[in-house]
This record gives sequence, C-alpha cells and structure tokens, in this order.
Amino acid sequence: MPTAILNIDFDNVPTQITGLTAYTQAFILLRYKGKPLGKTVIPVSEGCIVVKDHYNHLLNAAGGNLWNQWLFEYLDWNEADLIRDFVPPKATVAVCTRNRTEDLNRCLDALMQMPDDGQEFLVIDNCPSSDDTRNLVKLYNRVRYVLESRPGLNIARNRALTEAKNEVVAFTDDDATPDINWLRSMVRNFNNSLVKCVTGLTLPLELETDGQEAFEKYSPFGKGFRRIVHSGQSRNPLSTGEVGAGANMALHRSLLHDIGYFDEALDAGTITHSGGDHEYFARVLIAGYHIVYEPEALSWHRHRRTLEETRKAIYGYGVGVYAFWTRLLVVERELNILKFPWNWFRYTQFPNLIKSITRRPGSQPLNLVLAELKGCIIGPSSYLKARKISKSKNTNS
Amino acid sequence: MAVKVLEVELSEELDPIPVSDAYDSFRILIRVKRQPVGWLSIPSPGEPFITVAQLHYEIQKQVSWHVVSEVFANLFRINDNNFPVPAEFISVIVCTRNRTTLLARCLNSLLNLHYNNFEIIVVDNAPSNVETYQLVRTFDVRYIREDRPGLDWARNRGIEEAKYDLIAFTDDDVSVDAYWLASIVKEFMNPRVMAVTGYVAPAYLETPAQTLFELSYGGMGHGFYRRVIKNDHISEHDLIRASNFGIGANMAFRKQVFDKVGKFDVALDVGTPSSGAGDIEIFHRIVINGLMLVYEPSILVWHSHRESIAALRKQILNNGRSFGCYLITCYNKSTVRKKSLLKFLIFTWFYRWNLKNMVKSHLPKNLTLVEMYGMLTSPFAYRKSQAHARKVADM
Amino acid sequence: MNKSVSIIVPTHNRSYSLKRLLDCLSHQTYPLALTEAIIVADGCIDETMKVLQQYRASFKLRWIELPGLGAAAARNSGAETATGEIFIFLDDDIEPSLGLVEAHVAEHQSEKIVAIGYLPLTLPKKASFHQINLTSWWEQKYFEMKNKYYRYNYEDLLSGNFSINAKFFKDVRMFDSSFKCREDYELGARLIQSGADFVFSTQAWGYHRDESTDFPRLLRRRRDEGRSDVLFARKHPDLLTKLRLNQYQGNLSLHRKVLLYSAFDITSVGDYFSKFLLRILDAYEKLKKRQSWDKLNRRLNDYWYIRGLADELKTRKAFSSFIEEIKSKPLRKSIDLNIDLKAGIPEAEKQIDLFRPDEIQIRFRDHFIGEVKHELGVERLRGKHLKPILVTYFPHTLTHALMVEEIIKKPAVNDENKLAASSPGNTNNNDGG
Repeated sequence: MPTAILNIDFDNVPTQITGLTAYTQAFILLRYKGKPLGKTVIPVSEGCIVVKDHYNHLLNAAGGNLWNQWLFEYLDWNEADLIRDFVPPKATVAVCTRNRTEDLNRCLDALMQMPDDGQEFLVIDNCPSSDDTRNLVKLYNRVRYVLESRPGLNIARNRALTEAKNEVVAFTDDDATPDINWLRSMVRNFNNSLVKCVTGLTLPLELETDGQEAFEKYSPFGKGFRRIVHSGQSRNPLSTGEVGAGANMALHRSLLHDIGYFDEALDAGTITHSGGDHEYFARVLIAGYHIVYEPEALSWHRHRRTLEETRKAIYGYGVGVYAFWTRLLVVERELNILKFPWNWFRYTQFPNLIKSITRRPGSQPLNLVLAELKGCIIGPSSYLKARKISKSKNTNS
Repeated sequence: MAVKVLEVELSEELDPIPVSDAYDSFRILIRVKRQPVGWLSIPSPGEPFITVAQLHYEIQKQVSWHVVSEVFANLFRINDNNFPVPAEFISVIVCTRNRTTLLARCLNSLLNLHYNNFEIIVVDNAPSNVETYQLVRTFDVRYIREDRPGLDWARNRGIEEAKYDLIAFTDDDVSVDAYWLASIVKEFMNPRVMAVTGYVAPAYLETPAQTLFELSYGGMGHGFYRRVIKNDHISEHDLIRASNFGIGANMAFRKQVFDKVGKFDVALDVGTPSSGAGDIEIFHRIVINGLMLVYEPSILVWHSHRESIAALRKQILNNGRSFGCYLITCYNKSTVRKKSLLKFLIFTWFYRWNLKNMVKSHLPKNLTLVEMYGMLTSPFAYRKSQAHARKVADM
Repeated sequence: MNKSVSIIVPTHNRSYSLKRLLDCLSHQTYPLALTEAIIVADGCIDETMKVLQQYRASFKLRWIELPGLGAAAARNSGAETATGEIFIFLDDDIEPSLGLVEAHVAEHQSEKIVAIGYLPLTLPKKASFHQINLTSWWEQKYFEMKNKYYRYNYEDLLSGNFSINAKFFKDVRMFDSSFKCREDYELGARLIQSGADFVFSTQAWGYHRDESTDFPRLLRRRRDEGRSDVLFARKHPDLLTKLRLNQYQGNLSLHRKVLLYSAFDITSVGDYFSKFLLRILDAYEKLKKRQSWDKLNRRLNDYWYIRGLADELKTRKAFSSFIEEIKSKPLRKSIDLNIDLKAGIPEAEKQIDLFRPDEIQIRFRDHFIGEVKHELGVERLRGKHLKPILVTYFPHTLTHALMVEEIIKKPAVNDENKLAASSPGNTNNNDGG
C-alpha cells in the first residue's frame, strides 16, 4: 500500500493533485510560505486528490500553527529576530557517508540549493570500499572531501567536528534531503549561550514499499510541529529518545571542550549499530546545556526499502538504546538509568508485544517488536565488547 | 422552552438582534459567505437587544475555529464561493400527501431561489382529498398524482416525469435556502459526481418535541464538514452506515444513476410498513456501485420538525424500524459481507447507538426504548412491506 | 563620548579580584581622562588597602574605608563623593570587558536611562547541580532581557554591573542602606516607579568570577533575603504579591505548614535537621538523583528563607498580622487606556507610547481582543510591548477578529451577473520532497 508524499503550501494551493494512480493514500506536509505547520494522511481516489474535498481536514491538521503564521505575517512579527544584536554563528555542514553515492548525490544536490551564508560543506567518507564517493564529491567544487579510514559513524562525526572550520557543525545523513531553509532554521537557535545543540524535524522522503511504511509506523523521526527547548530541568536528561536524531542535528563546537567527543564504541559501523546521537544528547543535557527541537529545520529521510533492512534497523535501535544506557551506567555512573529498562518494557514494549500478538488494529508487526527486544538483550554486552575493540584500536594506532 | 432559530451571515455587517420574551434562548446558524460553519447558542439576555459586540464575543467563544478555518479556505481559494452561471437545467421533485400548509411554504421558498433554470414537480401521493391539487394550481408548477401509496413510488414517478438530467428531491415539510439549487448544480459541474446531499437544519424549535429532536436526538444534520464518499476509500462499516451520507429531504442525483443502480426500493419508506430508509438504501446502493456521492453542507434546507411528543415518538419508532428494514434489505441483496453486517448490527447499532444512548444521552429513556422496539420489530415490518409492495405493484 | 564617568566598586576582602578589576579598568576603550574609580573598602581586613595604595592607576583612583556597613551603604558613600555624570556600579568579583565603560556610556541617551550590563556565565566541566541551576537562572534572565520587546520589572536591576545618570540616582535618593540584601531590587522598584528607562546591554559585558558562592553561603543568603523581604514589604506594600513570603499566607499545603512551624517555633530542631538534610543533598548529588535533589534543594531554600522571616518577626502570629497589615494598605492607582486596533498596529503603538498606561483594553471594532491587567513592579506599557502581548496572550481572539473583518472587507457576491464559472478541470501537479 504505497503512500505518496506531497507538500501543500497554503500560500498556493492546487485545486487538484493528479497522477497518483500508484497510490491509495497520500502523506501530506502542510506549509505556509515554506514553514511546516502539520502533517496528515488523506485518501487518494481514482489516482487524484481534489483539495477542496478535504479542506476541513487539511485546515484542522494545520491547526493553530497556521493561525500563528498568518498572524505573524499580519503583525510583521519575526520569531527569529527577537534578540538584540544577535548574529547567527557560521556553520559547517557535515555529511557522513559510506558507499551510498545515489543517496549522497541527492543530499548534496539539496545542500547546494541553500542560500549562501558562508557555510562550509564537508563530506566525511567513512572507510569506503571504492573511490565512487571521492569521484562524486569532485563534481561539487564547494564541498570538501575528507577520508576517514576507521569505520564507525561516531568516528566520522568526531572527524567532522575536528575538521570543521566554523563554530557550528550541522550534521545530515547521506540518505536525508534537507529542506532549503534547513541550515538557517538551525543556526538561528544558537541565540542563547546555553543552547549547544539543535535538532530538526525529519519526515519520510518516500513511502513506496512495505518496509518503508513499517519503518515510518514503528519509529517515526518526526517529533511534532512545535519548537521545544529541552533541558535537564525540563526533562530527565537521560531520556533523549524524544529530543531528536543524529540524521538532523547541529552542534556547537565548544561542546568538544565541555563534554568531549562522540563515543567511538557506539553507532553505525560498530557492533552496537546505533545510539551514538542519543548518548551525546544525554551528555549535553547532563552538563547543563539546552537542546532545541526546531521543526522548521526540515529534512526528508529515505527509509530502508526492504522489510528485511527495516527489521535490521529496528534490531539495531534495540541494541543501540541498551548500549548507550550501558555507557551511561558504566562511564557516567548514572545509577538512575537502571529504572529505564523496566519502564520502557512495562509501558511501551510489553503492551506493543501483546497488541501485535493479539493483532489488534494499529499494532506493529510482531517480527519488528521481537527484533527490537532481541537487540535490547544483546545491547549491554555489545557495548562492552565494542568499547574493548575501540580501546585496543586506539592504543594500537 | 422555545428556542429562536436564526442565521447570521458573517461576510455582511451584523445588526443587533431584537430579543422577545417568547424565547428563552437563541440558536443561530453562523455562515461565512453562505457556507454554514456552526451553531451558536445564546441565552436571551435581559436587554431588548443582543448587541453586535456581544454577538462577536459569542461567535469568538463558540465557533471561532470553524469560522477562521472557513475564512482561510476562502482566502487561500480552497473553497471558493462563486456560483456557476445557471446553465444546467434541473428538475425539483416534491413528494407530498395531505399537508397543504407545509407544502405552500415549501413551494414559496422554491420560487425564491437564486437560480432560474429549473422545473418543479409536485407528486401528490395517494391523496385523500383535492386540497393539494387546488393549492398547487395557484403556483406555476407541474402537478402529478401517484395513486400507488408509498413515498418511493412517488419518487420513482417523479423521476419518470422529470424533464432534465439533474433531479433534486426535497420534502414538503422543508423550506430551502436561496442558494440551494445553485449549490447543487455547482457540485454537478464535476462530471464524476453522481449524487449530492446536504445539511438539514431545523426551521423552528418552538415546542419541546422539536428541541428534543434537534438538540438531544441529534436532528437531521450531518455536520459542517464536506465529505466525498466513494467505495475505494471507505470501510465496509462506513458503507453500511449510509444514514451518515445524507437524508431524503435534501438530495439530488444525475438521472443516469437510476439506470445504473435502479430506482428507489418501493418496499421501503413512508407509506409502507417499513416507514422509511428508502433514501439511505439508495445512497448505499450508489456507493456500493462505485459511484461518487458528495455531502456538502452549503446545500442547505430548513426542516420543520414534528411538533408534538406523540409525533416525535412515532418518528423515532420509524427510524428504528426503517433502519432495521434497510439492514435486512442489504442482507438479502448481499451488497456487503454478512459478517460485517452482523458486526455492525451488534456493535454499532445496538451497542453504540442504543445502549449507550440509554445510559449517557440526555434523551428521555422511553424514546430510546421506542427506537429499540422499532428495531426489534423491523423483521416483521420488512416482511409486511414486501407483501405490501407486491400488492401495490399489482394495482 | 565626552561624559565623565564614575565607576563605583564596593569591596570586601577580595584584594585579588579587585586588582584584576583595576587592571581591566586601565585598559578600557573609553578615554581614561574622563574616568574615575571609587573603591569603597567595606570592612576589609585583608590586603585590600595595600593593593589600593600601591596601585599605579592611569585614571583617577580614590578609595573610602568603611567599617562593614553593607553593599548598599558602601555604594551610597561612593556615590556621594563621585563627581562623574554617569555612575557605573560594578561588583568586586567582575572582570569587565575592555569596552564595558564605553558601552555603558553609549546607552545613556537620556536622563532616565538605567543600563544593565551582561555577565555571561560559563559552566565548568562536570558542573554541580547547584552550578547548573544557578547558571540556568542567570542565563534565562539575561535571555529574556536580550529580547527586543522585553518589558522590564524591578527585579531586573542587578547591581553587579549597571549604570545610571548621577543626577537621576540622587533624585531617587540612592540605595536604601537599611537593606543588607535585595537592595538592588528595592532600588529597582523605586526606579520603575519614577519611570526609569531600563536597557540591557550585551556590549557592556564582564565575566562574573563568582568563585566563592558555595551552597552553605547560598543558604545564608536566603536567610538574609527573608529578613530583607520583611523590610521590602513594609516599604513597598503594593509589591507584596511578588514576594516569596506571600506564598506563606492563607490556605497552606502541609509541607508549607511544617516549614513555617519548624522555622518559627522549633528553630533549634529545624536548624539541626536542615544541616542533616544538607548531607542528604550531597548524597543525592553523588547518586545523581536529580529530581530528589531538586525537591530537597527547594525545601532547604524555603526553610532558610522563612528563618530569615522569623528573625525579623519572631512569631507566626506576628507574621500573619504583618501580612494583614501590608494587605490593608491602599494600592497605587493605575492608568487605563482603551485602544482599537482598527487604525493599524503602528497607530496603536503610538497611542500607547503617548499615554504609557498600566492597563489596556484592546478591541478591534466590535471585537473584544483582550485586556492587560495592571501588573505591579513592572514598567508602564510601551508601544513596543503591544506586539508581543498580542502574539503571546491574544493570538486566537485577534486572528478571529482579523479573519471576520477580512471576510467583510470583500463584499459577498450576491449578484447573479457577477457569478463566475469555476473550472474543476484545472489541474496542478505538486510533488513531494
């Protein structure tokens, strides 16, 4: 049941959207003059959507955000320009990639569309098996190519942080396509000296296959359409799943001095598969800094296409979460983390499991739920192993 | 406990509303460029007028969301309020029986429409006197007598007599909004639309029976959201619940629909023992056959609800009975899976509508009981209706 | 750039940081010939006097010795001998940036300006919970003041780094030296009343080298605050609702009753117990139990604050009669204004700037948008406050009113002749991503 991905901007609404014969429904991002307001799903009838037939639904989904944007326009009120004498910091955009030139090509094309605010572009090629990425990057003369031969996404991120010339480093994954206003929306949030990290809204680029539908349903990246300031006071700094994701984040480089580097025993490319971003967010919050979730920093993520890849990704999340909790316990001595596994199991995983076993409407596929649980069980030992491996490598080199 | 029913058009400057002692509250339909968006309830203030400022204040408090959404829809040109040049011709069929005062009001409203190209056909259904004929003669409309008793016989006769390809139906106890036909024709400018229905608002809420029916039972309106109903995107459950698609007092079809799916089921509706559901059944059949039906609230008529409690009770009994007959018809014609029908019957109709009404709603318990009784006796009514239909057909 | 400036610094046994401050003053971008510094050594028993005597200043440096009268009295006596047109008050633990004086002077475009300088805080590595809390509090306060549309209140006068016109300072009769603590808020309250124009300057920044604010010291400060708030309420009865002590009247929750009882009636037990709780607080920090730490921290702060109240008022009965007495005093009258937004936002802003009201009722023709109530201790409304008020408090009523007016503006199409055919065949492709 493929889903079309569409944008509707209220500033210029089409009467009809045609050519959707392959789809039964459409995922719609609602915008006003480019700013994201909300999302919704509407049915496709006879390969076409007549916008008028759904207008009550669309306006309800856009909700109060539309009111606000319209009012701001009337009042000539600019939310981004409230701070006296604030000049947004310059940024470096870093793309960590490995052997995915098709995705990287799309990502770089999108990045080149952005207005030039003096930003720098970096591609960190992480332990590539061929020269394809290097050759692709040569086509973009504004992009600097950096080879990082040690495998691991967090290693590549650390490399990006040290290579970057500007104050702020904005990370995007190679399989993501940032919106044209992505970077500007990110950097303008560094207007408070306690904000050292900004995350953005990530939506699916395509929902063509069952695998992608399952992924979007199981772990959607989007965290809503309201700006949120997260701090150690406003939430438990150890629970960072809702803060955002590494595919769409910007960090202030002073964090390197304050809380150090990404943990090289975590995330893709190691046996822990993921969790590097959430672990870093936790350290940011523990240190007393704030993380802003900015929905206007919009990026489109291409999910894994096959069900098998999706299952592996969900398994990887299971491993990653437990691996990063293990780090918090072992390295940061955060005893509070001990209650997290139980809470997660009791209030989310177990009910999900029961729902999928009894096949209740809206339940998740059983194999995904089980894959995540399996990952959780393996997580702690994976982390300890990965830590040993990464330590021995560091001493060897 | 009389309630004054009014309508207010927000796109024009408002005037203060005079308050009279006869009513203890106001129920005001708020319209934005003729699109109805919601109801406003204001208790009668102690002063002789409701001022414009008070009115705005109440609108803001009660229906702000809907008003603003509608203005946005206008502003962004999603829902334009331009009406088509009256080029399409349309036949309006009013079926009636021995209700001349109501019919006169209905015909008057039809003659005041902001639309030119239409004919009015009054189908007099098995009349017991000549009053209707005498009344209709004074208007410039066609009069047809259908002697076979039953609303659906009358409707089918109207279809046969209609000159034009678009046919709109309304009841004799209804007065139509001035833009009623214009709105209907506007929908039919989309060639894929085969049937349209619209909003039915209460014309008066003078008696307890009327307020009870409108405010506690739910009335005849189906909300202010436009809906496009087609079988490729609605569930089987919603297909069965065709009473949500609209109501016979306010519906219109392309003539070709009747060639494709057949005419109204003469074993159903008022005048037969089933006493209703002919409209619901044809909506169901239209959607089942993959045709597109549009519910558009700006297609608006005002219905005079039953004045006495006894009449109300009878109507609610008929609602229960006729809906049962409709379900049996669906069952016999196998339009949907029997499993879904059964599930619907038990969970939605019996449990969610009746049992929950019993416990929660403001509706007096005896009215709910009456509806349940109607429901339980529907198999007998269905059988009798079938026999009745055969007998009448032989006439 | 030709105004003479007096920099007034009260100091108490911090000779090292005083030296650092003087060094920074020597390298200011503002002409040193126009600068004088007055150091008020208040009850100093360390090397402060020696440092001052030996310091070879490139600007006019004078000092006064006092026997420990408190910061308010020290600043006042400094101000009495100062000769500059503009006074800059700095604390002794500030390390001013080299443009600080210049930035302060630049803000003084009119007589009633009060410029508050920025003291950026940096979190140390592995900061304690207490440091994180404190830093967040300061940064949040500064962040609000950095906002272009900010409406200042009396608590924004932070005495560590601010400047004021000398004449204006004397007109409002300087600091109240009976206050040992919260003297800055008290001056702030009087400044707000006399219509001062507060401005926040990020350019006039300095590091706040606050090395010695440890936790027990903070609790002692809470006790001082309790004492000062009693004085404060007496002097400014209309600000009672803004004070922390106002939370301890009327119907109280159980834990507040317990706090009141232990701080007023069984002080020795209470003090002993609070010392014990301090240890538990440390244990919470070691175990990184943030929520429990937060809760206990708040309780401890509350306790010591009430202890301060008890020092002044002795019994609970005296406390409640004190509150009653304050409440019975008449409130200051407010200035009201009705505005109609129909004429446009700039027009409304002009009107507010003209009247400087405390309270406004906002309408848009027949639509009621909302009203801003008189808030005590806050500067009177300015035109620039209107937009944030509309955006923050009345976005729904205002959008509604604008929308209804929008639809009236364009006359409804009633005429058949004007009706235009809509074209449903109008297709428009739109693709995702």
